[in-house]
Amino acid sequence: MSKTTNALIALGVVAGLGAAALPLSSYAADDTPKAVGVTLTIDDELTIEADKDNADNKVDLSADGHTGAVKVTVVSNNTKGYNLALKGSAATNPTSLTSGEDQIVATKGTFAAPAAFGTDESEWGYSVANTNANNTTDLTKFAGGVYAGVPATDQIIVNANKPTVSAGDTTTITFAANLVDGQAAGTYEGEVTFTASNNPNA
Amino acid sequence: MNKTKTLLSAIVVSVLAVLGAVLLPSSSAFADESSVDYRLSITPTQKSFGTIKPGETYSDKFKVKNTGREPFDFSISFAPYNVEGQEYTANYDKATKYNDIADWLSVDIEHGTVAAGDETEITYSFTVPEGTHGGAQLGTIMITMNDSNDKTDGGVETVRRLGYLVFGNVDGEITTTAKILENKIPSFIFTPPISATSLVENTGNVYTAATYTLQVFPLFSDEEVYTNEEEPDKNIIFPETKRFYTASWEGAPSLGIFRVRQTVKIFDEVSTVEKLVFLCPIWFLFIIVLIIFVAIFWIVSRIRGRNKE
Repeated sequence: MSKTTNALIALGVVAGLGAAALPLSSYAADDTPKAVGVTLTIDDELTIEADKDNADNKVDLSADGHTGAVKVTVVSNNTKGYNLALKGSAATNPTSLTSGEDQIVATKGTFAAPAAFGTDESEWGYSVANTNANNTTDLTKFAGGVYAGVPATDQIIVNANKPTVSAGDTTTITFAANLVDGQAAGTYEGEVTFTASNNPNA
Repeated sequence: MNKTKTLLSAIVVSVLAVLGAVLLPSSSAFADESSVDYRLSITPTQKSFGTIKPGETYSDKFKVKNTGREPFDFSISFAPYNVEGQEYTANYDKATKYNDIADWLSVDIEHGTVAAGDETEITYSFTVPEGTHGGAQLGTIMITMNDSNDKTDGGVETVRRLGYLVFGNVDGEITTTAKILENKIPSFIFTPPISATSLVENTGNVYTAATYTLQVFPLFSDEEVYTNEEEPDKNIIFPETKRFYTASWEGAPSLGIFRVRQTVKIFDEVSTVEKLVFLCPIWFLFIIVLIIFVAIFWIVSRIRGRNKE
């Protein structure tokens, strides 16, 4: 092989090595992983529904025993949880069941101190059940057939301090009436409003 | 041969039937998203305006969503917002000097109808009157769902509504004072998580955020095994209220000895507590105590035995 050929071969090898080395050296000069931020903003949302909605939004107390229940479900993704309240909201006699001039009044027990129905007059009331471990209200006092009278102002019955599961948190409110002899016949009606709001979040 | 052909045909038909059942869209795939007729949602659910100035107007929006199967009417009203107790139970009825905003609020749509699966955007606004005293203002926008599902007479009608919270601090004569009444870490924990509690009181007249930093170190090291220092827990603390809070490390192991430090801050008040925490199941503790008693008993027996000799 002539000297020229050898020189060309040598130059070619050098050129090839140089070309191969360049990209490597450039990658070596800038191989720091680059972080790319990814963000997703989800607004807080609050939902309320009741199991009475599909048929009739009323709780019927006509059957024997004069009890009936409604299940109110709240769905909240607020990290601080939510509150659920109830109050009597009929236009007249908001705390009573009314039939014309006749009333079945609210029982004397309260949410703080529920009690058995009195026997002097017909009364009605509610009890609450909720198994959410994050609920801070004491509902154990409603065990054993005691009731609270429906108030005219909002009474918080559930105060959860964490978001609910995706299916929501269900509270069962059982209404009951105790009738004394001589209670006037009629169709008695009442109205209860359930209000949910998320807890304030910084 | 005929039997074989018949059997093969039956197998092919069965396979095709199964594939068809699997591949064809099922009714549940096209079922309504909700199984409830009337379902009310709002998003977002609250707004903190921060500092608001007398004479200025502020506004924002939220959506009323129908996530049920039937249309419903809605109406909007306004109410105060307060909290009671250390667990911050809501109160929508009591009106104080911090609730004038309920009278300032207005919306562009006071009544409406939302079709199933649809939503309505509500724009609300308020103007802070000139001369308004400085301090927090807290209110609620109530969205009441009025469904027409009133089929029978008698009984207890149930109405549902949701509250959208609005709050701001009116600029003016404000006080930013607070107390940290408690900052506690238990020494013995039988089950995870590792937690610390605190009770803060806002003695000022504006709301603020209290922050809670929890740090957990091994016994003989300063390298944290857990900290929320970069994103401490936060709570809004309204004026003239106390709020109890528990900060936790949910991923704590079941056994260990840790140094735990909690720092609570509100306005200019800071409280830091550090404690040695023994984390172990109660049955393990009993075993340790039992071993100690057995050891003591053995030692005493040995000593008595030597004395007799």
